[in-house]
Amino acid sequence: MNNLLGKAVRGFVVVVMITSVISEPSLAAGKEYPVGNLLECGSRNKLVDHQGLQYKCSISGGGLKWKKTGLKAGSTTTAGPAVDLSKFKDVTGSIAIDGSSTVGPLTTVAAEAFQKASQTKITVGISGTGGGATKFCNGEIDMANASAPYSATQRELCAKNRVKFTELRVATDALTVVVNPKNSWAQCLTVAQLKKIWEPGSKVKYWNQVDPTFPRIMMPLFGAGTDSGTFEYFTEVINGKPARRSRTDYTPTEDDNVTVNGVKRSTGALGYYGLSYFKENTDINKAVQIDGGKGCVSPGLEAVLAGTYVPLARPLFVYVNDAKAKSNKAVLPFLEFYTLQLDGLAEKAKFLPLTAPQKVELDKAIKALKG
Amino acid sequence: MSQTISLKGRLSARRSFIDGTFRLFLYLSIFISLGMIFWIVSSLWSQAGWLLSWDLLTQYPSYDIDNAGFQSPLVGSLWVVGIATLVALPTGLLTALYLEEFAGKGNKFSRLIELNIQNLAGVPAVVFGLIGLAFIVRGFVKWGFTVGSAAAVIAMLMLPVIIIVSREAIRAVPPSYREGALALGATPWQAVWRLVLPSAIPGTATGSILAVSRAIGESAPLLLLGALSFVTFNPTGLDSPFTIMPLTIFKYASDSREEFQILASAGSLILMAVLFVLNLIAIILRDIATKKRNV
Repeated sequence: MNNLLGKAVRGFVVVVMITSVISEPSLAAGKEYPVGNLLECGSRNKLVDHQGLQYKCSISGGGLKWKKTGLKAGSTTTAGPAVDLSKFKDVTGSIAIDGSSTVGPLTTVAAEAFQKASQTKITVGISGTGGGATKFCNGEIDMANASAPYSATQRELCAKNRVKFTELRVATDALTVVVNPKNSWAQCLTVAQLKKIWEPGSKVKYWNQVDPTFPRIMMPLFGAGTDSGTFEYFTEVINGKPARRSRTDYTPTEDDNVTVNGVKRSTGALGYYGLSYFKENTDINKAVQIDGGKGCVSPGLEAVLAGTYVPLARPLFVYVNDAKAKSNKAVLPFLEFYTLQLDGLAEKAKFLPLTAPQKVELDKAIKALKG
Repeated sequence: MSQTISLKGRLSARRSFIDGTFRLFLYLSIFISLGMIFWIVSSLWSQAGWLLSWDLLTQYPSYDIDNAGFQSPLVGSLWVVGIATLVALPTGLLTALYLEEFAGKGNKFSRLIELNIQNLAGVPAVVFGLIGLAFIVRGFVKWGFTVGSAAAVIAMLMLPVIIIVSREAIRAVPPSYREGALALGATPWQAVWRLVLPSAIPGTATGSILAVSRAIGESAPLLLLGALSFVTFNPTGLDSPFTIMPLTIFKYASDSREEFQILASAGSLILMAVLFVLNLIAIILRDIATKKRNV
């Protein structure tokens, strides 16, 4: 028995060694050297070319590649509003945040930057808008991310547990309806057509059932899992109130990459997810223009700020427990940091920033919290 | 001698066919099981092998791919599984000893316990997670989403496996050992402590390795205990928030950016390497224990 196990272990070592020889990194293809073969793009080096532009060795699809950082040598901070971060350096404490996987990246970016500027410890959980609401209304966390405003039931739970909270709108997302790049017929879909596809009991299986001019091609559907705010928002604005009514014979997923790949593989596929996933996958998914009564509009910054990308431009929220904002000395500085950096953070997390009046409203809400 | 040879000659066609077929199945089985491991490791390696570096172990999770690594999830995993093992191993071993050596054989009470333990080993991990969420995180223990809660749940998961395997190992110790010791005037305690337990160590160790391996890859129960989090610091104690390797891999894999999906593969390789090292240590320790006893 012992002997056998020993042999198995040795066998495993040999397997690993052989594998490592076969796929030796130096043999791996896909390395690119935009600055010439000056230096091996190794374990995340930095490089400065003759013009003083910085390059950074960065991970990408097929291997490590040199990427322009957009910085001149010598400069260290990224472009953005000059904010004095030194006032945060004495802030201590810990903040527990949980909730939406859509808003998660935004808060994560903020938390990471704030922890560097201060001595706080922040955890950002990802249990969905609904899961986050349960923890938030149980008083287990300080702040909650939400990709849809809290529903009446969620508010009731908070009220029952005497958790008073402030709702902060922090960014805007454009829910994007995507099709396969080979799909040449569906340039623009109206809300009525989307409803026909997604309403409960919908029998639409082929594209020509949506519009007779479309070809008779199967339409596999991909959408958000039922625990997500994305699902909640999409079903509400497309299928009408109350939210959460949808046909059920589609592929629901909490992992939007499933939708990305499903839509990539099938010519007739249709799916929906947040704009950030589309921005990463413009080559394999195609965004459909949406006609919500203001003509056909593509998802994007201008349309959302102009208010024409209706009804799929959705607000993203952070909820703050009022009592904890007072008792936990780290919460208010974090919120202050969050709002100061909001535009840069939103850009990094690939969301759309707030408009000026929305920002004023956010500042007002935070002032009230400080109270 | 000549008789044997002639006998073999007469039966050889049928016998050698059965013999050969059986061998073929054995080779096929070992090929399938090793092939699976080879396939998993090689596909992970070809996707992310070039990415492996110490950076991945020293850097914390980050939104920025260039700064992203696995330190806090790795340390978190080791904390959780380490504490769970410290709790579950002695408890499980002692329970097994009691059931095998001291509990009345065949009475209804010990049969009931036995049945329950066997059932517990088959309970889905996520059920333990729900129990942990209801009673340890929120209920009367109210430990919150911490390393301690997670370790408690993982220990519960490991216990049945350890108990069952340890019992088998103790049962395999020949009764003549005990009888001989008792006949020479040893107390039951001395017989168990000096003879039965050392003889059962190799078998127990194998079971524990299995339990630890399962625990370190476990993600379903810890998902409910708040481990799916962005945590950029190592746990400092039982009250710390934490994250674990499998769920960080999951989080990276579901990121919208392709780089993070590659990073997830690198994380899987790291997790496999850690598992491999832990198993190796356990096997070496077991061999040392076995040799010591035989001297």
